[in-house]
Amino acid sequence: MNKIRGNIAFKTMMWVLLVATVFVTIAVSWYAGIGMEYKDAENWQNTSRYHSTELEYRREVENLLYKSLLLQNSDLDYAAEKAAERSLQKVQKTLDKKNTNFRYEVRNEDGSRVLFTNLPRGENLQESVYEINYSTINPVEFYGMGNEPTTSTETEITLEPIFGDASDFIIEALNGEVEYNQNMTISYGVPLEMRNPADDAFLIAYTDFVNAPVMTDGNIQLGIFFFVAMILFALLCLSGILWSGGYHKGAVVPTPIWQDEIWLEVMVLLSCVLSYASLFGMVLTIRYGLYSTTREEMPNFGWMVALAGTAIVVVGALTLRTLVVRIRCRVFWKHSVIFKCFKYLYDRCTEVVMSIHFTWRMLGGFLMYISIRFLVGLIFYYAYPIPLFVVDIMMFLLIARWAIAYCKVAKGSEALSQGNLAYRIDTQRMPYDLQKQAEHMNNISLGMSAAVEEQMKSERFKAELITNVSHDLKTPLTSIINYVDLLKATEQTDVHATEYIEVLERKAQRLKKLTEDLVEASKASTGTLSVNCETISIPQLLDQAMGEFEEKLADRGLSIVTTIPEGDSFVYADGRHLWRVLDNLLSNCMKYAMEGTRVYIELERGHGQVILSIKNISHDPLNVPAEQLLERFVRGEDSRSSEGSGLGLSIAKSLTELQGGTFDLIVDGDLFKAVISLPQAK
Amino acid sequence: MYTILVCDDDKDIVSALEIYLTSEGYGVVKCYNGKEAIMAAEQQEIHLILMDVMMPELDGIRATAKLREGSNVPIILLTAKSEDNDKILGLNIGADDYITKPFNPLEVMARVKSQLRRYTALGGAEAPTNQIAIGGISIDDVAKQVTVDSVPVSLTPIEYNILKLLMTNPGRVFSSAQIYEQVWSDVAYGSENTVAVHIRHVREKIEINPAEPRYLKVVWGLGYKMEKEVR
Repeated sequence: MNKIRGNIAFKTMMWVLLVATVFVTIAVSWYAGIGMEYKDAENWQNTSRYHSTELEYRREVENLLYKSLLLQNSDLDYAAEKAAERSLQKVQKTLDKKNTNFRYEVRNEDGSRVLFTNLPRGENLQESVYEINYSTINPVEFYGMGNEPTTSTETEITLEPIFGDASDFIIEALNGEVEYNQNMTISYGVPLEMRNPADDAFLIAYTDFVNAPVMTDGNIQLGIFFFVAMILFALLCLSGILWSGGYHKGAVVPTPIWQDEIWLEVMVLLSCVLSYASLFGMVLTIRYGLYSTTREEMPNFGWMVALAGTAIVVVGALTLRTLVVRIRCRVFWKHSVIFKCFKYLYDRCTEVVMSIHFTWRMLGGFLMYISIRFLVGLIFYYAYPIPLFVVDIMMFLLIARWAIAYCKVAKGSEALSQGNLAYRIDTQRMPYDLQKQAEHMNNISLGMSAAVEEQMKSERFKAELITNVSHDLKTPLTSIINYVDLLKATEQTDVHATEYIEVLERKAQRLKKLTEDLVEASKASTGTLSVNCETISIPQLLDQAMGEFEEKLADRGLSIVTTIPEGDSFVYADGRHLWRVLDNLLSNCMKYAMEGTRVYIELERGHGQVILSIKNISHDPLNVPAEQLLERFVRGEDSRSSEGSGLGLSIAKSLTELQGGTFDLIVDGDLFKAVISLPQAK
Repeated sequence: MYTILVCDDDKDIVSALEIYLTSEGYGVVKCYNGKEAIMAAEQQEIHLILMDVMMPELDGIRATAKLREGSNVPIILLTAKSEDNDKILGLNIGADDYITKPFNPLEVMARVKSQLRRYTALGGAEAPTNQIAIGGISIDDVAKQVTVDSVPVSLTPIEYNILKLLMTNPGRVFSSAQIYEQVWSDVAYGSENTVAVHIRHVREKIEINPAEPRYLKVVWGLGYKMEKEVR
């Protein structure tokens, strides 16, 4: 779904379809509207449009009479006379048979004489027009002039000429004297068929009528259906636009574009202005179209109306789209002047309030609560308990919010204290002070986990370094051991040489052990060693260890005393690693225990643990605390003269811990005691 | 006379091994990287290869794989790496044995001899029914005779019985108590300790390096077992 929503082609298509639909609908409706206007008319002269135009032209004829009457009045001054002449010429021009299809005759009272006409010579009004209308007028009475001359300035101004020279003009009667004070009959009409038509309003009416669609009941229904369908389709396109608004290719959540970041008020104003301008343009076009008197002047205003209408719809659709996107992206108020103002005020207020010490803030808050309660109690005295209840509920909600946030912070600090450095407190929707607190806590755990990470990295690096260095040491050591061995086989002339070679051999072996222990220690302490745990029996292991060591210990005059409880003592551990632990401890006994003493090995069970302890009396005084003995390269005596790497105990401890056990040392005088505790296997 | 190919990028180690091998009466071909070793092995008859793992040009693992394509000459890898994974990789790729540096020259010689005996005795007479053989160890129940790589080894009756028990059930882990009950035909009662000591003695007699046994393995905390199959 989001793929379609974010598709630019889909959006473009929706917009194009909307514009096209609206444009076509308005244009066709306009066209159909013209058809509806002429629906019941038999011919074009049977229309209101024709009648109003005809009336206008009759007025022109009356105007002609009036102007002629005016000119006949010799009392006019020069300027007024010229003005009237020009005005007359204009009227004559309008009524010229070349400029209009309108035909008229003005006859005297008894109808015996044609006073004015624009009929070509020898043509009969009856024959040339479709339908003759009559109108009777007494110019003198009609214009209320009597025999007195009118020289009002007002008249002069209305007679201001618009057109230039009068064209060729036939009014027979104008040459002679005309008695104006009589009932004249104006008969007029327009030919039905237009042959060599003049370009005037009648031609427009005629062509409009001819071009207008013929509206039958059938195609009216079709038209209504079409209209409704088109409107529905346009709505469909609009909803498509609104539906996809804000979604972009590849983005999961809707995001606003520049249109949606214009300030809300500005945007609304802009769309009002634009749509009003379009509407104004449309009305103007219609008016201009309706008032044009010639075909030439008349614009193709059906299209222009459609264009203006489409513009309104587009502006409306754009506005709707941005509103929908704003709501969808939850930024409806964000980009608005009102919001900015409120936010600014709120921020400043918060800044001021938050700069006050926490204690005073709490105190102030409490005082405010008391005063609000008091005021509310005062104002709503008659509805006493309910408003107070509302205030208390609000206070309760505030406290609840604090409590919830506090719980979150408490949970976070608990997790942190338990060493869960990955835990982050969700600081969303928290009261200001607790939020700050929570953020600080998060920063602590962030810093700590970074430090731990750093530590781990350096540990790993160290282990790697140790492994690599000891690998590099092993190769030359191989040569040393081999050549010392070869040297041993050769004949020595010097008596001391054999002795020296023995020293070399011993030290080379020592070096070998040291490098091996070093690798082991680093692997055990960094946990890169693989541990394959299985259920193993400690008594069996002890028995096996005794088998390995008993004779060697006996050679040193050491005897072993074992105490093993009845029954099985199983643990879940890696036998090889556990053997290594025992091996190291018993080797230590061999190296450091005082000759002729006993070594006590005790096994205990209890509290789900199997506890193995090895005790012996040290040969040399143990002047090093137990904790330090567990450090790498530390040995019981400072001189480091004895053999051994000083890694044995460290390796034993690391290996025990690797198997989920604990390893402790107790030093009491010369008594050395190692305690291994492992969880008992079920 | 057997010809042994020694391959290591450290010339001193090669020379030292050469001295030991020639003193034992073997012919030695020296190489300093994997490519040379492969070429030398193609040109002349080689009976055993001692090869270092970390070498320039072509390392020991790749060279072993290459050699194994057309030869089943015994290959013993020498290396400074002692991780289990490396050993497993080396043996899987086709090496017959594995010695970690720094090595004891006597151990190397013992292993060389063992491998050569096995290689040359390959396809030899089928063991009679009263004989049990695992790897280089064979036990003749009629003559009560034990040989390791064809060399007779003398064992005490108890040691012999322990070895026989383990060899008739290769791969099975026996606890000290079980061994005691079977060998001594008595109820084990705190005497298991003796079993461990006897086992150690057996190991010292049949293994080249008793600290890293190839046949008689200690399963720590569980007991003892004989390997089912030894290369």
